[in-house]
Amino acid sequence: MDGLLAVIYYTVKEHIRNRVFLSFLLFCGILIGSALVISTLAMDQQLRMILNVGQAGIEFISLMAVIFITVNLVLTEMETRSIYLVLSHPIERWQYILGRYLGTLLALFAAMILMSGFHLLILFLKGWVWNNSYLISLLASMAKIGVIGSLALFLSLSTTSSASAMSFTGFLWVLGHFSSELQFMAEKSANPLMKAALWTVQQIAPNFSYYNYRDFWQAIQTPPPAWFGWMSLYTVCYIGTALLLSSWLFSRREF
Amino acid sequence: MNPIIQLNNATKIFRKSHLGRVKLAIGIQDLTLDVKKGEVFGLLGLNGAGKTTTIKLLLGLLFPTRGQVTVAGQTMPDLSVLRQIGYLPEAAYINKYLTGREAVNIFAKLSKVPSKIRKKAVGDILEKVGMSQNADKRIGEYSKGMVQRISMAQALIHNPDILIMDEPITGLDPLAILEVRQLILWLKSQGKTVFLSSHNISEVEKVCDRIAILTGGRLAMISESREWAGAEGKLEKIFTTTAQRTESIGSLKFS
Repeated sequence: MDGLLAVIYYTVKEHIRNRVFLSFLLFCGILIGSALVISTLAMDQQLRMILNVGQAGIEFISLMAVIFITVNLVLTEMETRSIYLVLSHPIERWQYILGRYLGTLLALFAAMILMSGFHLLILFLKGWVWNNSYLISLLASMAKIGVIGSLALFLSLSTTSSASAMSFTGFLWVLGHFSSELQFMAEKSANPLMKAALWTVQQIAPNFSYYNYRDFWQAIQTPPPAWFGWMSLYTVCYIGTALLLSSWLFSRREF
Repeated sequence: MNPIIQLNNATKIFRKSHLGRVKLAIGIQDLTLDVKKGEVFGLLGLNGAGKTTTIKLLLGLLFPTRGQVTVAGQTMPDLSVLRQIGYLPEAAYINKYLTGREAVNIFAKLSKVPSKIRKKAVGDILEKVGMSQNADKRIGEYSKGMVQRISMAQALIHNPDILIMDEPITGLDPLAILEVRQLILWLKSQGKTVFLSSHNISEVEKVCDRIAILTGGRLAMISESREWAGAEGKLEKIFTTTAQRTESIGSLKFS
């Protein structure tokens, strides 16, 4: 357990002190600030604009950050050879993978909370009244980040370069927003090869429809309790599978 | 005396594939070696001779293609053995975002140094390597010599029985070379086993009890200190007559 905690600790420190990570935070601050300017275009919907643009901005920047950081998480340590020193100590390879992943998520979640705090400050100054839906949609965004991070980590270990891993993750991220369309196309396709290919892609790509809490909120609806259950179960299963596969790939890797 | 390190017909063949073409490269071939407990053993060879491959096999960073690598009675890779090993790499690959103290503390945790004594152990080893005054600066701000000291500290923090050093003096200034020599002799006086690779013959002959010369991944010869002790230049002669270039470059022809 000490080994796992040590890896989590140094991963969090590494991210917090990294300029790239800080520039993501700064960029998000600019984006939330610009929501204020954009909102003046729709005077009657100003609060709604700040709320939507801000939340979408936090999620988008966090997704960009998690893809960029997670893809390079192990690859950079391999390039700088710092992984030699870590793995020459008695630490299980799965502990290293899990520690790097959890450390990255912790740092990113802390950044998301910080960005949300800044966003909420602007909202409150504009007269917005607290709604628990804000917290639930933030948690849904965090789950989404966790899922895409685990996929990025797996792809970084199964492809040969960070560029290809980033491209594949980005591609699957886009496809993840069209899960029901992919399923529809697979069902309607007459070609069995196409059917199989679409089905495979649909299974691999994360199904982001599980995380659309903001759609419920905007429609002034409350999702049924089962929705929360399915979202949690899907998140745990997807991340668990991706981390298991990553650990398996990493345990076979030589340095 | 039972050997603490044993390579028995160890072979490592690297398989590289590019666009469907597979290339095989020999790292080491049928290497059989024994290192006794308390011995300072040097592995000599030209670039590409297989020194680093051998060290990586001992650390479990590479897996043998054939044969067996045994350390402290356990077939490598074996995590439990890594508790008994300290590894000092050629260049210290330590995360530059951490301070010296944080880095040593993390390696202490990875090496399962008990939490009760960890803080004191980290302070003591930083004092011993002369880094206590600079321990709270980030490694990114350190000179090469200072990073090497932190690397020494991480290798010794868990009081290992076996020290594995890969080119420990490459790129160091004369004073630092003297200090590494003192460290090796001190380790020997403490009954530790030191396995080092180098192509600096004059240093090797000052500290080693036995040496092995590798050529093209094969063991060319083993020599004991009594064969060169007191005879200046003898080991260099043994080495230059034994070692052969395996890279496709010719010798210089200025004479």
